Amino acid sequence: MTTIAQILDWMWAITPSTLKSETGIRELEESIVGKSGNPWINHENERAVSSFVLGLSITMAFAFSMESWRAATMELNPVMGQSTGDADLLAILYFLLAAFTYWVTISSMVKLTWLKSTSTALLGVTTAWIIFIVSTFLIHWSLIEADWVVVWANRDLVMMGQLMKEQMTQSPGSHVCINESNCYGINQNFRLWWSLYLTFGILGGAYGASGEKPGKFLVPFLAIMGLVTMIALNPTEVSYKTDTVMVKLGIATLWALVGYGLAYWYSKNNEEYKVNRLKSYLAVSAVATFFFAILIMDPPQLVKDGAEVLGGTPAQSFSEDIIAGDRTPSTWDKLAGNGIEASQWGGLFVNLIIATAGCVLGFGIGVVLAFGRQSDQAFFSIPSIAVIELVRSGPLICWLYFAVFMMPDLMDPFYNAEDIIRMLLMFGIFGGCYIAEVLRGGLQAVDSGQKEAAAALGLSPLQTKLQVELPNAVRTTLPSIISVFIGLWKDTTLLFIVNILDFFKLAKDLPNSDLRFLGDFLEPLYVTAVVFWIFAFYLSRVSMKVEKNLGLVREGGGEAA
Amino acid sequence: MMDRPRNLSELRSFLVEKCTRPDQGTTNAAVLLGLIYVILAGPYVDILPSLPFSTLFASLLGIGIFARAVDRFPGIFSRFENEWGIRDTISIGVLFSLPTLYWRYSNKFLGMSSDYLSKMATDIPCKTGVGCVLDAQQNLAFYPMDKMVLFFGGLILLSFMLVQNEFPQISNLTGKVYRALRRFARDPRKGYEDLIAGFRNKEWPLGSAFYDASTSLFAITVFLACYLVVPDMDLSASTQVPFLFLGTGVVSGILLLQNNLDDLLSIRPHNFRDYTDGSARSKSAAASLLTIVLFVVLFLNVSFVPLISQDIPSFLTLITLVTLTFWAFILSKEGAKPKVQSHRSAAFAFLVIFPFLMYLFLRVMFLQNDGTNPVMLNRWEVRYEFMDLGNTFKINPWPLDAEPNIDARWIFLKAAIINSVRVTLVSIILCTILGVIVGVARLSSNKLTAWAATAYVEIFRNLPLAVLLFLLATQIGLQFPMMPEEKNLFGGAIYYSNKGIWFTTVASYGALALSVVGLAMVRALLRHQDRVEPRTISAPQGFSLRRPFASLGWRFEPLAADLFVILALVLLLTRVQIGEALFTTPSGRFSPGVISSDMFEALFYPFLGSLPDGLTTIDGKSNVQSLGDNAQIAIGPLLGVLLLVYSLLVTTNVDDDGMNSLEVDDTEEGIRRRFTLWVVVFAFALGITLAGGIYEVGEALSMPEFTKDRDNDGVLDQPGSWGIEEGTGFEITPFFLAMVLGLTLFTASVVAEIVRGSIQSLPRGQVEAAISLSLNPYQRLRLVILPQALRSMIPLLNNQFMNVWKNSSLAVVVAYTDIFYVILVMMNNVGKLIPLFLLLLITYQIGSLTISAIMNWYNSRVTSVKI
Repeated sequence: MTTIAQILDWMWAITPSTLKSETGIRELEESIVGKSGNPWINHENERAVSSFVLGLSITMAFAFSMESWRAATMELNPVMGQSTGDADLLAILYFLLAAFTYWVTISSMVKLTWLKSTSTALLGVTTAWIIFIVSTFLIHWSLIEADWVVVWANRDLVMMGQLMKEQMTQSPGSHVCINESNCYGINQNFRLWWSLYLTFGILGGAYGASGEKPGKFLVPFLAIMGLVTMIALNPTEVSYKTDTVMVKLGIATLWALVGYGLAYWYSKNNEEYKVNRLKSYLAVSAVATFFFAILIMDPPQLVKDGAEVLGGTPAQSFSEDIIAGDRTPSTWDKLAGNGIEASQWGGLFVNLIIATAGCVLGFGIGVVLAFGRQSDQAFFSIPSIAVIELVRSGPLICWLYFAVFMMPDLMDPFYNAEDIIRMLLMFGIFGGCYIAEVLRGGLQAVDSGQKEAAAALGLSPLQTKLQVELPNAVRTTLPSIISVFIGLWKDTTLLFIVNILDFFKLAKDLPNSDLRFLGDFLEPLYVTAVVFWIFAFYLSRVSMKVEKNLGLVREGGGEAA
Repeated sequence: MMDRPRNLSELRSFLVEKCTRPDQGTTNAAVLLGLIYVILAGPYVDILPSLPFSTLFASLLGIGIFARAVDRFPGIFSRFENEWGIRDTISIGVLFSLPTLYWRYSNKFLGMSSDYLSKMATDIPCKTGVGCVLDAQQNLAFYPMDKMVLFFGGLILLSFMLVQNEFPQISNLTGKVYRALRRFARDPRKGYEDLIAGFRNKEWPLGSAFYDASTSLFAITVFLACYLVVPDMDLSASTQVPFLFLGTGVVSGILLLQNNLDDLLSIRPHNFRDYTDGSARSKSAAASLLTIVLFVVLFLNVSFVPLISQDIPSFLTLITLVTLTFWAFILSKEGAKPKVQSHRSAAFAFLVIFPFLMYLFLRVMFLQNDGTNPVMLNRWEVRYEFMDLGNTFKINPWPLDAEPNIDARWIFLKAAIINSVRVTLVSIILCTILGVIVGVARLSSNKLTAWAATAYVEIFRNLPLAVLLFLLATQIGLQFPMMPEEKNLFGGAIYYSNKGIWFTTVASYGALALSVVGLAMVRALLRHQDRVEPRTISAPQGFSLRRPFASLGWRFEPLAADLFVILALVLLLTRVQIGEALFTTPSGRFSPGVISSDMFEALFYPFLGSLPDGLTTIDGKSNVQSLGDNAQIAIGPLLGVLLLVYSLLVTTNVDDDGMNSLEVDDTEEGIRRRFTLWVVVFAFALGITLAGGIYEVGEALSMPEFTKDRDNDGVLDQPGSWGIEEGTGFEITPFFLAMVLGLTLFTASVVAEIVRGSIQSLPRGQVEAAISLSLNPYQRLRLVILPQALRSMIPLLNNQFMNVWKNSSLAVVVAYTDIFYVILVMMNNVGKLIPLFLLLLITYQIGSLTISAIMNWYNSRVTSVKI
């Protein structure tokens, strides 16, 4: 009972204030259902009628949810690990939904609102029923019919892909590492974590530098990190050491917090131009982090040699000793050894790294192409136009096919790149062409006075372009550039068509990975949709924030309908 | 400078002043150091240790970072302030490493290019006749020299002209030459004198035009001369050919950087002294001349200079490197006029990317031609004969019943294009409707609706389309009943399962078309009745192609235009015309001999015509149809389309010129009369539609015929094998359904945002004025808001519609046989990657351009009235 009271308290606390006062509720009702057209309802009895309708709909909804609960408990399959908790949750959600829908419907029927404000009433009732039908379908499916074990069991697989996961989990000390045949000499996951620490630090720094209030950053961030930790620590089908993961997630969180704190403190105590410089350093280090991630995951010979010079022996050379427990590799030993080849990358990591490549390389290529297209020299402008139009003429999957099957014929004599590296390049080129078009608009909009001032100051043409025109153009087009990035992020799902083991491809094939999961087609797909949605939605919010911070929001006109 | 500490200051003044600021120093010391290093270590001593360089670079960087950090500290270190920065270090490091990097890069690519050139130029005729046909070419990668000069020289010429950037001057010259020729034709004697005078005199218009474009003309002349001379020169394939071809590029780069070819070309006896006075101009002219002469001499005698001929790429790289260093220094001083400066920058860029450009071009050329590697040749050779052969896989049958192993690949491509267009068109229409609804709903005063619309937009806009499509296809597959269960609605009017949906349809499409035509006629007549005399009549005098019926007067001209459109539609809809060509399969009827005779024909022929029976069978024997016959067959549909386009143009012109002024009777009586009329007309139309069916098949409607006995042997087949009798009902496959649903839901969310944005950008006064005119919400939307919002919406919608067209390639996710899918399977079957890839790109480009053209036309219609 106490729990229910607590839940009710909590729900009361998060209820919007409009719902707490009577006028608020009445206004809400009028805006959804419309004004009363019933001649028998007047100011005196309206309150009573409303209460009656509310009570009636709550009662009916309660009956409906009880019925659904009963039906759901019959459907539940305890073998699949479903508890009655699912049915309880279903009943609660059904109750809320049904109460609302019934309330809207009964109100409009009792008060005859469709006589007075027809369109409002019709819209309200129709929308309520559409929401009701779609939501109940989804709730019933996800709580009762779906079997989420297929996703829980493979959560590390969809993050990194099979080969990468093995190198990160089947290291000495893990319970999977029983004998030498299924055991890797060194644990490669330090490579991923290093990149993650940097990313988190920069993320925190970016929020701090943009002057986000501590409450607004810390609460969502810590909540998300808590959620991630819970997902990682969920005891269902764990194939890795949870304590290490927890510690490392903690360190990553700490990095973000430290980065945020330092940047926030700096931006509060310094003048704007210094803060802007900090921001530009952060942007540069974000780009550097991307290259660092690629270099550290699959280090070229130069890096390995460097680590060897600094005192490491390649860890793979004494992997038997490590597995036997005779020797622990030092950091330099690990760095001197082989990394994870690009062909072994997989999962969400691939999506992230390729989307980032699309942004980073794409921005570079886009700047070059945009300036090329603007140039008055035919040698620069005509090839730029040709490349931009050629690449934009075909859909991305055509170009991915080109990158997989035709690019090697051209590239192999001088660079034998792996599939994923070619994908990085292709996403860079493809993104570059779209960014070039966006930037072109920005460049055309640069005030000619700026260029004249730059010329008067004696800047060279290159300096004018890079230090005067480009910053101006980027400032005005940043929201559009971010929406290109969102498109690239979503387009990484197309990698499955060319058999890159990205998140979508792995999730799609999960039902075939084990007989237990046969037929669970939809669960991984919904999870994929949600994961990609979250990142894209986050980026779109960032875009809106940037737009607002830069003062680019156009003041719109009036409302219409 | 005085108060700086001695040791660091000295280092700084030496390195920073001399090396990193070329405009202040006397020479670019770092580059020279690097260059000396390269020259010593690179070309002739075949070692290029990378470690010392990277160590040097890294240690310099380390010093820089340390010094920078020291700078930042207050106190005892403050006297080093601004002494040394990371930037200084980086620029010195870059200056040191650039020559090395360029050396490696250029040597590698030029080396590979010269290999390809030698391979393609080597001529090995069969001399003995043993084991080979006498005089047959034994080098499978052999390329005839004249073609090689044409392609390769053409590329260099193109680059040269692009860098020189004299296109306006050339077109000016062309115009003047044309006019001079006309004068010449009119009066040969005077024209001749003018011509001669023009060549002699720089001030004369033609002469100055020649002078302006002289560099480009020179390049063209040299190219033509090479084309005529080089193939007959019997060059040595291993030395002279690479030296000539690659050297030409380098020499062009040098000449372009010198930028004095026009000056050189204007040397005449009378001004020869100007070029021998030792001025900068004369030195530059001498350098250019020397370059050309040296190149020609070296080219002719390259075999006698083993130092060069043994390693041509290294020699050329060295020359390039020296040139680039020299010119980088000159360019960094920014001494020239901006125009010359930017021209030289282009030339510099050309010389920098020259090795890679050559490699790329020669690699493609080599792959196109290299007979020693048949797999690669098959991939790269751009020939389309294989498209005439029978296709080997099945695709979605409706509407073009292409049969595997009988119909040519062209027919399958045609079917695939129809599939793509179908899905795109349906999605565009649906997403526009849904998008407008959702977009308006987002602005609704009903909070619940606005919230739901926002949620819809946010959910679908941020979903990856591939995931959405796959999800929908899976959901449809799981949610719909399985094939063995017979599920139908309305007593068998609609059958549905996870294999598709079958609707009842009319029995005779001809009758349907007839009734549609009838409706259109009634509409045209009603418009005729409502038409009033326009305020200003702008009728063209005499016959005008834009308005051919202008002589009929304001009352009958628009009527004629309306009827003309209907007539064109009738011609198209009836089966004798384009309908036949687009939707009938020529099963077993294709003629390889005709189709591949020409590239243009091969691309367009299969989409225009369909062949009658009795032509070639798959073994390639029997009668080959002549081109004339094909043209005759294609002429009907082609004329139909042309006629439709033309009649639409006529109608829009009539509308634009204000000839269609309508005054609709809006009184209650008028509305009632019109309503009655339309009810009657619709009843008639329905009657005609259904009666046609009765007349033809004996049934008014074609219901999907459910059957469990598909082979008609009287015994029920195995459970699970029920089906719908072919030719009954109208089938929608689940793939099509998933495609349309996915594209519509996704694009509608974007369209909704566009609609909302456009509406919100309208001035508020418009809505207020509409309210004060007491228009109801629907009228406000329909008459005031949407027409104005349309102006800003259309360009954005155009983009989205093109996206729908490109996104339709994702049909491969749900196994719907669109262009991409079909070409993909063909690629796997035949391995002709490049030709098919080109087809793919061309198809998508044409589609995008068509959509763009239609939307632009519509945009110009909408914005023709200025507000």
